[in-house]
Amino acid sequence: MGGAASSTARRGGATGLGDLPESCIAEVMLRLNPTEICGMARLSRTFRAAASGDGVWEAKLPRNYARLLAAAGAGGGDEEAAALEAEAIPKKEVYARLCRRNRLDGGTKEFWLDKAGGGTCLTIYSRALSITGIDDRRYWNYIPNDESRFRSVAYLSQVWWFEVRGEAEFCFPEGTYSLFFRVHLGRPFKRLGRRVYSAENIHGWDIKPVRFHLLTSDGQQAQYKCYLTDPGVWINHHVGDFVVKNSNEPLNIQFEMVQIDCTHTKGGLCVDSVVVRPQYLARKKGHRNYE
Amino acid sequence: MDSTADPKGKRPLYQEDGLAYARAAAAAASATAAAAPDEEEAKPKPKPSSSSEEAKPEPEAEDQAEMPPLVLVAEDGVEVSISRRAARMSHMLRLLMEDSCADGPIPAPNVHSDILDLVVQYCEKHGPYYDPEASERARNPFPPFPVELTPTVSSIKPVTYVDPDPHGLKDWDKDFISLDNSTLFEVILAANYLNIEDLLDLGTTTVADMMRGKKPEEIREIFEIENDYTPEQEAELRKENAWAFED
Repeated sequence: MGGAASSTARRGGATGLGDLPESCIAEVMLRLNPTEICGMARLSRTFRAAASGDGVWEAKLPRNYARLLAAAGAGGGDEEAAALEAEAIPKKEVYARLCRRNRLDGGTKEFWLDKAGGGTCLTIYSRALSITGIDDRRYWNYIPNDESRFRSVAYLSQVWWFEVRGEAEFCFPEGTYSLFFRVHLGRPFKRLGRRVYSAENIHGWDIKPVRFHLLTSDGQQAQYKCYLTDPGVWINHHVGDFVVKNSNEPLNIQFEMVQIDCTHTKGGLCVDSVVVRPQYLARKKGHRNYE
Repeated sequence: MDSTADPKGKRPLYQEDGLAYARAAAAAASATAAAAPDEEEAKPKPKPSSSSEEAKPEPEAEDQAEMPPLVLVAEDGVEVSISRRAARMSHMLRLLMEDSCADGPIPAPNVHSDILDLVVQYCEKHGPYYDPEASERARNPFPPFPVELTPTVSSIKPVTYVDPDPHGLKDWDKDFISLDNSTLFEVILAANYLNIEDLLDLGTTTVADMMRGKKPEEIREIFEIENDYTPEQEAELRKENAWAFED
């Protein structure tokens, strides 16, 4: 193929990328991911114009971006007002705004778009979780921790009835999502500038397994159980996946991590958050994702 | 009917030489419009063999296959014939056919005949299997992320395995689109003009693949793009797009 005569014979000079109309350049941009598109803007001024086009960025945004903007606080939280606000700014800016860490519920939850892939991520921090016995300092305490974006985590010294549950209602864009519990066996701290952890309270996790459970308002569910092991590292325990088919309806997800066999106590565990990621983003190495 | 006989005096049979028939029809049309007669004598260019084959009426007896192929006129005056079935792939030609305006020569003023040949080759190859709706869905999948929970992967193909590419078009496309840059861009321009979504998709995807993962300097070199930024503008741009690269 391409056996046609050389281009210089056909016309005055070779046809370059710069000879393509902006609409064709935009078509090329559509096939690159947002990070790549921003990189392309550096090539020349024509590329910068094509890389900023609303047509390109609208295709990268989730379908329900007006709702997401409202959740992020635009338009005072009202979806229609947020949609109006969104009309006035370039779609590229809408995308950039959604990629920021957007706080919900007084900062106890955060959501953002994954820059490269455009998928929505949601994190529910320990403060937003219902932890049995959280008010009793004999059992649980919030300790400062800079390995959590929330800057503090719930630390369990010892308890008979271990139950951490929570729920979130969110207008997830269409797609498949994975849910994880981010926990750490042992109590991390800094000594002489080095990161270490204390294993002194770790006990009871090898007697009976911990059960994880996920349930959505449209009836999807997943469960997983395991013995907690491997102290000293943050582990994302993959509970399961759920699918969102309709982004117009907010989805309510409920999740829990329990070990309520009261013949033994357990302790020495940090609970940071529950993490929801688009499935394509979640590294799949079995049920445990070590950081 | 004799006015449509070819200059050699033989009446061409539609099945075998639909091309000459089309040319003759075009010549007849241009003769009445007093166009230059030497268009008929226009060199018998080597045609891609596929187009004369495709001029055969399909056994499925689609109405369109019974009708003569369309004649496109390139910017250098050369005529290129395309079967109706293949012409469906072009939105522009489809509209002309629906409005019955496709019987005479159709100008393609910005497209050289060599490029037009390539484009027609693509359409003739894909034409028989073209389904506008399926192609639209394939180009714009929704939702963008897979919605079905991935089934457990099995190395044994079930008996009901469905080949996603039964006609081997993907490999053909890969061969077809391996062109030098200049030709590739001209094919994109032609596909854009004739509004052939699938070919435009193929061309622009190829360009995007060539750009991916390369530094701007490399891309500038490959595609001969001139950097027309001032240093101040570059700095401003870097700030503007910083959000895409941080974290």
